[in-house]
Amino acid sequence: MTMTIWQGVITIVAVVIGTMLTRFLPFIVFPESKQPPRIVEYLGAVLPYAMTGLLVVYALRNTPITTGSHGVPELAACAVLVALHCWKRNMLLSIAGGTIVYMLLVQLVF
Amino acid sequence: MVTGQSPIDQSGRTLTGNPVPDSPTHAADRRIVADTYAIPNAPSTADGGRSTVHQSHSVCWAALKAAFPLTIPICLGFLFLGASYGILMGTKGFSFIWPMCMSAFIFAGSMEFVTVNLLLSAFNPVAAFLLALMVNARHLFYGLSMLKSFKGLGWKRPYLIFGMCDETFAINSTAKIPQDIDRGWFYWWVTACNQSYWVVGATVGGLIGSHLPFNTDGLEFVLTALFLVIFLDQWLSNAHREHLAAMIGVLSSLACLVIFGADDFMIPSMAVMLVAFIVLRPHLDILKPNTESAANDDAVSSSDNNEIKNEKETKA
Repeated sequence: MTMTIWQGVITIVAVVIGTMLTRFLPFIVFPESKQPPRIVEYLGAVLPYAMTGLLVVYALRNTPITTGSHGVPELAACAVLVALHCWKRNMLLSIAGGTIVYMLLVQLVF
Repeated sequence: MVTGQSPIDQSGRTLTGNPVPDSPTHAADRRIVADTYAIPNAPSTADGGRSTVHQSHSVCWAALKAAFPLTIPICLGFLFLGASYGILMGTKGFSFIWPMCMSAFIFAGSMEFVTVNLLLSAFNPVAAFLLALMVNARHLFYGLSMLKSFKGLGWKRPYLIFGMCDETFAINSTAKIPQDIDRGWFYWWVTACNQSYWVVGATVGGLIGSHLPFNTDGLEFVLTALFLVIFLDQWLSNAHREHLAAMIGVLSSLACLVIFGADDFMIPSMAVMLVAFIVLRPHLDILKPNTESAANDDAVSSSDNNEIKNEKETKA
């Protein structure tokens, strides 16, 4: 560790403030007491769908397509998960199935 | 389970016609069936001035029972990722106090990993602040999405906003909360459970170092799987316009991932998404009146849950 303890603490506090600003800002700009503009309500209604999509891409962003395993474990695990979920619609089962397939593939095959 | 099924809610309305939730694990998959605005106007403890201590206890307990099953995959993922983070800090020479405090106060997974590197480079708090803003910019959209849902939740609200990490947002924004479950407590438990998993994981990781008893390679996929399942649920339980909104999210982030690379695609994706939503507003803005949310709005204002009940029954 190159910093003193206090420099470390200040760095962390700066990160905390930055992170909290991104979480609280929408709620500060559009407080409970006031009706937010119509377009903000519209965005609030459509964004959850888009953000879930973004999170899927985000979670898979480091998948190696051109090197190493070529993303085969990820693809196989996602395929198993989608199939399981369309079949049983059980969230825990689908997650467990996909994760187990992925772990087996990265530990035993690739 | 008995505590969760009180026939009278806080505002004194009878909920006898209400379907009683079965075992929590079983109910989990149906509850997560995603529709952001299907959240009913669940009774809030705040309006029950006359509610007894016993009642508020059972309201709180019932919400925990409804929320906990949804957090099980996150428990697995967070204990594991939190531990890897604690171990990483340990190998860089930090005592477990550091990962413990950082996981509790920063509580944004990727940013905590970034902060480890910041702590090892030259002292520059302004750069650290700006980096946190950029890495976490996606939270702005989470906030916009939850403005309505977090309305009127009193003292719980600041903590809900503080603890809104990706996984908590994914659950809270999509969970279909049963009518007899208090909305505020449900959100609160999802947030608190998830945060405690992460803090425990990071602390334990910092304490034990790299002596994990079994081969955990690939376990991190559990969080990818969680996002994918939630996405699927949203997809399977919604119609054309919601699909369009979801596709905008996937395509804009995929395109930006290809163009900008894995480290810098988040903010461009958000910008592209925003533009796409504004351009397509004439197509998408009728999303609200056309779905359950309209019924939900009415129910909120008139304190009448019948419409939602009917909606739910037709859905089930």
